[in-house]
Amino acid sequence: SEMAATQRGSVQTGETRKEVHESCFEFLQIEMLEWISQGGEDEFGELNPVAAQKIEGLGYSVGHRLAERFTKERGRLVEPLEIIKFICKDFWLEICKKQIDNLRTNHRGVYVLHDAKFRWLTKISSTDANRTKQLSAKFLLFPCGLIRGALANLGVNCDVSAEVVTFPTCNFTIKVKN
Amino acid sequence: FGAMRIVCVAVVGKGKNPLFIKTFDSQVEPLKFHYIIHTSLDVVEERTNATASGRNLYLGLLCPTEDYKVYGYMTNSKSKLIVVVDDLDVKEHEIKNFFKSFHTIFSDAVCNPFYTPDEKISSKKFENEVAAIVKQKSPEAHNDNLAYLSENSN
Repeated sequence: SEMAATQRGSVQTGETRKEVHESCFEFLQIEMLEWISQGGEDEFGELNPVAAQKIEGLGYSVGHRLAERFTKERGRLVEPLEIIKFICKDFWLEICKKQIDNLRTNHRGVYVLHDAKFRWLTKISSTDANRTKQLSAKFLLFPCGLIRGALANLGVNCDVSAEVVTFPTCNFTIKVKN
Repeated sequence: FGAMRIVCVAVVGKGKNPLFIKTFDSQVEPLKFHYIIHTSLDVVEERTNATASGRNLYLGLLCPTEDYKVYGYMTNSKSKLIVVVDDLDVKEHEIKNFFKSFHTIFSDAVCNPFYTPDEKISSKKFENEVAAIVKQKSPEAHNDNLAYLSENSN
């Protein structure tokens, strides 16, 4: 039984990929956050650390696995910068249909990935701008985990954090551990 | 005739930890293949270390032994795929195609949420899929001796 195709543009030749509508993931993520944060939210909508860690951990597990799949068709990635660029381009393209808009680094292990319009934030809204910004913070936990997990599997151990600049623009900061 | 005969395939983790070994020659002691695979990992390391220039995942012929040829492949997650073939007429492009399929099957197994990364692969589905592509590439009748890694062996 084929799933309803096909918001995803890319289909690899020679393989039939089952595809799932993107909204399935969006709804799943909303419910996932609801379920994990049950009662664990403060009045600002922030998750308690345990719940936050769980969500980030889920992202880590998925990102770790996706790294294997998404690096299958390409050559060997060697330098950390190459690997970060892979995240900015191929990886981001696969998970949110666009590349990272801007990459900055201090050449000492810190990278800032700038997404001008982060796809998974675009459907969020609330009555006031500040509240929207607060609420969106917890939707950044899973993507942070995704990045951290993918990098870990490709040999780069790091911490990943994110913040909303002006909605829906956000920055992901990667700090490589040594 | 002259078809290659795959006698053993293996998946090795990020270090030298074997995640999966399957042999296809009942006439040979499985331990012999374990040893061959372990030895070939040194060559993999040489070919993929920081100073090595190759950017291919496919590493080519690692080491010929008395009776066999050992081919290697390392994914971007530093998982190694090893294939041991009988020393008959081996066509490079066939080995490359085999690794491509092998990698796809491995990647699918890794995406299984019940699989813990870098641990032994115990999925029956994976084992069957691997056996199927081996059979595809080695159409001659060969003995399907299932000497794979179990929980108890190391």
